[in-house]
Order: sequence, then C-alpha cells, then structure tokens
Amino acid sequence: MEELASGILQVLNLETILWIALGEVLGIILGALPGLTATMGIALMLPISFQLSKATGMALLLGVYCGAVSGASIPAILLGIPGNPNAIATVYDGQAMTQKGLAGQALGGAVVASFIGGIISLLLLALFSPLIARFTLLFGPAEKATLALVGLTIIASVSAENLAKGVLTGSVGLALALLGTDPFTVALRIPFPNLLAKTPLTSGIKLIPALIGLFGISQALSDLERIREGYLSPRQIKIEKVFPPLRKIARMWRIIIESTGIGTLIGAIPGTGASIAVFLSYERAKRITSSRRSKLERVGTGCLEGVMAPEVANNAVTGGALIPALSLGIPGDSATAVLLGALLIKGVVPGNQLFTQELSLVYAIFFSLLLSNVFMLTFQLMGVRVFPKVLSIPMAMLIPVIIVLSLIGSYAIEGQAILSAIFDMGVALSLGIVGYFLKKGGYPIAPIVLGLILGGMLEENFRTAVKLAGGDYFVFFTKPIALAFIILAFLSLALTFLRPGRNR
Amino acid sequence: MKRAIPRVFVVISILYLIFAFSLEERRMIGDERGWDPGSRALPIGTGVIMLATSIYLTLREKPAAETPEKLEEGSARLIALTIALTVLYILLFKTSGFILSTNALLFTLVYFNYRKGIEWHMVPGFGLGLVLSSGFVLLIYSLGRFITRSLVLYGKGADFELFTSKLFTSGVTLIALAVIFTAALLMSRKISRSAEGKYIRISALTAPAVTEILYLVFKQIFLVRLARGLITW
Repeated sequence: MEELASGILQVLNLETILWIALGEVLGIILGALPGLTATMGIALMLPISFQLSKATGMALLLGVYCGAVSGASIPAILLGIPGNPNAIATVYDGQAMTQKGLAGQALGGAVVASFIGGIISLLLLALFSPLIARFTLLFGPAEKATLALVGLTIIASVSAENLAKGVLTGSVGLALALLGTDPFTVALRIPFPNLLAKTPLTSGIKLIPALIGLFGISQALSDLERIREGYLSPRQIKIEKVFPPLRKIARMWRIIIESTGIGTLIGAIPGTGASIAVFLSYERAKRITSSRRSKLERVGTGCLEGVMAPEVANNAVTGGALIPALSLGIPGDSATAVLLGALLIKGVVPGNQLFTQELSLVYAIFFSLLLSNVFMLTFQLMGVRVFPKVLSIPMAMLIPVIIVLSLIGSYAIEGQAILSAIFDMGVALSLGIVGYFLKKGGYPIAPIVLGLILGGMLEENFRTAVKLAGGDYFVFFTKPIALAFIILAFLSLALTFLRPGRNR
Repeated sequence: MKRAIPRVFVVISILYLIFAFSLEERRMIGDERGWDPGSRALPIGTGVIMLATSIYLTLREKPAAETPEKLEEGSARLIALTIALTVLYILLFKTSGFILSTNALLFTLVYFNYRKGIEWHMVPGFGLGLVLSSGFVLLIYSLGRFITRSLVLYGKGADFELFTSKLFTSGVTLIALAVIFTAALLMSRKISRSAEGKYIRISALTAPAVTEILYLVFKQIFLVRLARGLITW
C-alpha cells in the first residue's frame, strides 16, 4: 500500500504531469505526421527523459507512446494515409466516413476507442505482469540465457518477411552489443586495440544513440525520399459532431472486448506489433457485423464499428507490449524496446526484482499510463479541430529538425564529456545510415535493437551457466524451463517455414 | 540494393570473424579450471551466424527477383547532402561550436529541402540566406545570454531566488526571443515576396529558432556542455 501511494505521488506532481502532457501533445503531433512512428517519437525523447527522474522520464515516454499511437488515426481518417502502421486498418472505414461527411464522429470514435483499449489493456498489464514476473524467481543463468535467445529468435522470425534477414540483423545487433569491454574479465573487445584503447569505443555502443540512429535518423532519411510530394494539407473538411453516441458504443461491446483481447495478446507476443493486431481485430469485427443477427453497421461500409475495432486494438497493444517488457525484460514491440532501453539505462532490471525492490516505480509506470490515456482522450477531443492542422507542417522543415534533434539528443547523454558526446553523435549517424539502407533492402531494424538490448543478458548468463555447470554446454537441456525456452525458440523459427506464402 | 546488402554483410562477417578470433582469450576470475567459455566465445558464435545467413541470402537473392527501384535524382542528392553535411557537422562540432554549426546545418538542409533538390543557380540565394541566418542566430543568442545573465545577476544581488532559477531564466528568454522572432517574421514578409525570398526567409528564420530552443532546453535547463567553439561569450 505504501508503494502504491509512493508510486502515485511520483507521478502526481506538477513537473511530471506537465511532462506527460507535453509528451502526449508531441506524441499526437508525431503520430499524426505520416512517416513519423511512435518508436521514433520515443527515441527522440529519450535524451530528455534521461535528464529526468526514473518515474518522470518514463511518464514522458509513455505520454509520447500513447499520443503517437492514437494520433496516427488523424491522417488515416482525414486523408486515407495512416500516420504510422498502428492506423493501417483505420483507413478503410475512417476515410469512408470522412467522404460521407462524418469525419468528426470518426475522429471522436477513434479517440474514445483508443482510450477504452488503453485502459483495459492497462488493467490486464497490472494484473498479469506481476504474476509473470514472480515466475522469473525460478530463473537461474541457464533460464535467463535461453529467455534472451527466445526474445531474439521470436523477433527475428516475426519481424521480417524473410527469416534469414531477421536472423542476420539480430546477429548484427548482438555483434554491436559485444563491442567494448568483456563484462567479466575487463578485456578489451574492440578492433585495433592499440589504436582505439583510449577512445569512447571501449565503453561499447551506447543504447540511446543506437536507438536514436536506428529509429530517428534512418526514418528521417527514408522520409527524404518523399520530400518532393510536399505536405499533405487536408482539404476543407468540416468537423462537426465529435463524440460518438454512447448507446452505439455500448452496442459494440463484443467488438470492443474482442479487439482489446486481440490487441493485448498480440502486443504481449514479442515482435508482433500493432499492425498485425489492427488487421486481426478489423477482420474479427467484419465477421461479427456481417452475421445476420448483428444489429451493428457492417464493417467496410464506412461506419464507426470499422474505426473503433482497430483503434481499440492498437492502444490495447500499448499495455500488452509492456507485459513481457516489465516482467521478463523482453519487449513486445520496437516502441517498448525503446521504453525498456530507457529503464535499463537508469539501472532498472525488469523481472521479479522490479516488482519487489522497485514496486513504487512499477505503480508509477501504471499510473503514468493511466494519466497518459486520460490526457490523450482529453487533448484529442478538445483539439479535434486543431490537431489535423499539424498535417500542414512541411516535411522539408520537419526532417532537418528531426536530424538535428537526433544528433543533439545523442550528444546530450554524455553531455559533460565533449569527445564521448561527439562519438555518440557519430554512432547515431552511422547506425541511422545503416538502418536506412537496411530498410531499403527489406531488412528489419527491430532485431538489431533486440540484439543490442539482450546481448549483455545473453552473454553474462550463458557464460555463468556453463561455468556453474562445470563447463557442460548441455546444461541448457537439463533444466526444464531452459529446455522449454529452447523448444519455444526452435518453434518460433520452425513455424516460419509453415506460414503460407512466406519467403524463407 | 537488395543483392548488394548480403554481399556487403559477407565481407563484414568475415572481417568480424577475423576480429573475434584475434581477441585475447581471457576467462573470468576464479575460473581456474577453464569452465568459462571465455570472452571470445559469443563474438565467434555471432560471427558464424552472420556469415552463414549472409552467404545464404547472397545465394538466394536472384537477379530476376530484384525490382528496379530508382530513386529520384533530386531526392538522392538531398539524401547524399544530408549525410555529407551531418558527417561534417559532427567533425566540426567542437571547433565551430553548437550555435554556428547547428544553425548552418539546419539552414542548409531546410533551404535545399524546400527547393526539393540542389542546382548551381541556387547557390547565391543559399549564400545570402546563410549569412543572414548566421547573423540572426548570433543576435538572438547574444540577446538570450544577456537576458539570462542580467536576470541571474539581479536575482543574486537582490537575493531573489526565482530570478536565478534555470527554468525561469529560460522561460523569460524564450518569451523575449519569441517576440523578436515574430517581429523578424513580420518584417521579412514585407521585404521579399518572391518564391526565392520565401525559401530564404523560412530557412533563415527556422534554423536560428530551432537552434536557440535546443540551446535553451539542453544547455540552460539540462546543463549539457554544448561546445562553444568560435563563440566565446
């Protein structure tokens, strides 16, 4: 009870509330701008969160996360272009509603749906993550090493159309994580040690510059390809009645419950992400509304049901994706990978330790997510006529600002040591360029991040497990949980071959 | 592109494996019996996986499967310019300092992005804009420093703590600069209404404004040591 009060107090202060509000507004703006993702928004805010306390920093990032996921529906509804993959399925009925002159109701419905999805998934997060975290008490080094392996293989197998590409980028992330200094022997692990021994490379590749480069700079470079398209100012669209009829929402109870379930569950599976959840929930809603007994409007015809189903699901993903991140240290999607990175940088270890030793921080995270959802609902409904105007911000201006913010953000992490800080800018830029070319070649970026995050955990626990087992490499097959994880890792790879129409 | 990437990774993997094998083999303290797999075990394992997957992808990518995707020349030039300028920015950051280099980078990128390409005839406008923008950023930076220092000095002298608070000084500076910025925006609109003038105006005002906001946030609020470079005051 004391921890609950302490957690709430860490959030219920003017500074944190203001940061959440700012994060929310920034998130909505970033989410609404096509091409700028939620992950990019969180990555850009990482350096600022780094300067704040743990709870306030996380609150800011959660505000951005929530805002960006819901803001993506604005261009999806008004222009038929999703702000980011979270709103891919909102386009169909959202755009059709706009064409019918119901843009206001579509925007309002999307916001209410995002709020419902966010709140229910938060409840599920609060319910399940402590239980799963308690399970980690059974984990020794062998179990932790194989868990890291599961995280890497799942994300490699589901994030790419081609398994080999996912495995390749995952191992690139791992290779980057292993650069620097051996954690056990302090032996240097850098190329040309005689030459580079006194450079910042000895501390390895830092997570924040890497994340900023991979998600911020690479995205900005990709967006430069579209610079000639100019900006997407919405036509003169009248936005009248905004709040959807409550009776209508109540009649959609089945769609809401199923979409929340789908969003939370898909979010909780590492590597899957919102784009799968929104399509599944949209298809499910289509099936529900096309049944003869259904009194709802048919999804696909430009109705509220078709907007609410994917919007409930994409915000339900936010809570779902945090379940494995907080309880196991395995992020559910790339956005939570960045959130997890923010926690790790602050020295917070996910799992049972987090839920026992830093319970007040866990409550603060939950409460921040609750406030973020409340702010998202309030700001989006209040600003329903204002936020669409951000679509008029020209990319020509926005891209350079993102690039400079990425560079200065990377610099700020080591802000007192100029040379290390400049090195971090170089890391961000290099990985940004690499990420840009990889994306162009159809290679996924998320496994690199997972490799970077889980590399340390994998190595430390792998070596400790083998050492404790007297040099026996088969120790991983003799422990039931570790063996279960190995089977899960194997299955996640094997299932790729069974998926129809997939390029292996 | 699709065929080049795995080939590049084959080379990188081979180099990484050479690097991994060249690492000094050390075992953790207290491991007299040599049970620890050692500091190069995982790098070697990772290198092998990288090499295997990149060879597999090289062999698998068929020439026919590659769809010709030609990047528009203007966009390609802008991407090359962005990469080249950011590299230069990082290299010169310490020498030229945050204010001048950030403003120059922002101005150049915004200007050419607005022009949607790079042509020789744009150079005079670009040069003029860069000079104007640099002058404007120096003006608002100096004014900002003056306001902040005056507030802090007054606060210390009169024992008025609020005036020495970094949030307060940054807020007042931001408001003052917003007024100057708005005035500059209104004035510049009257000076030139041509398309070229519009691009110069937008770029020359955006770059100093963003530079100064970043300075206020990172330097004045979060106390990050941004390199001063050529600006000594």
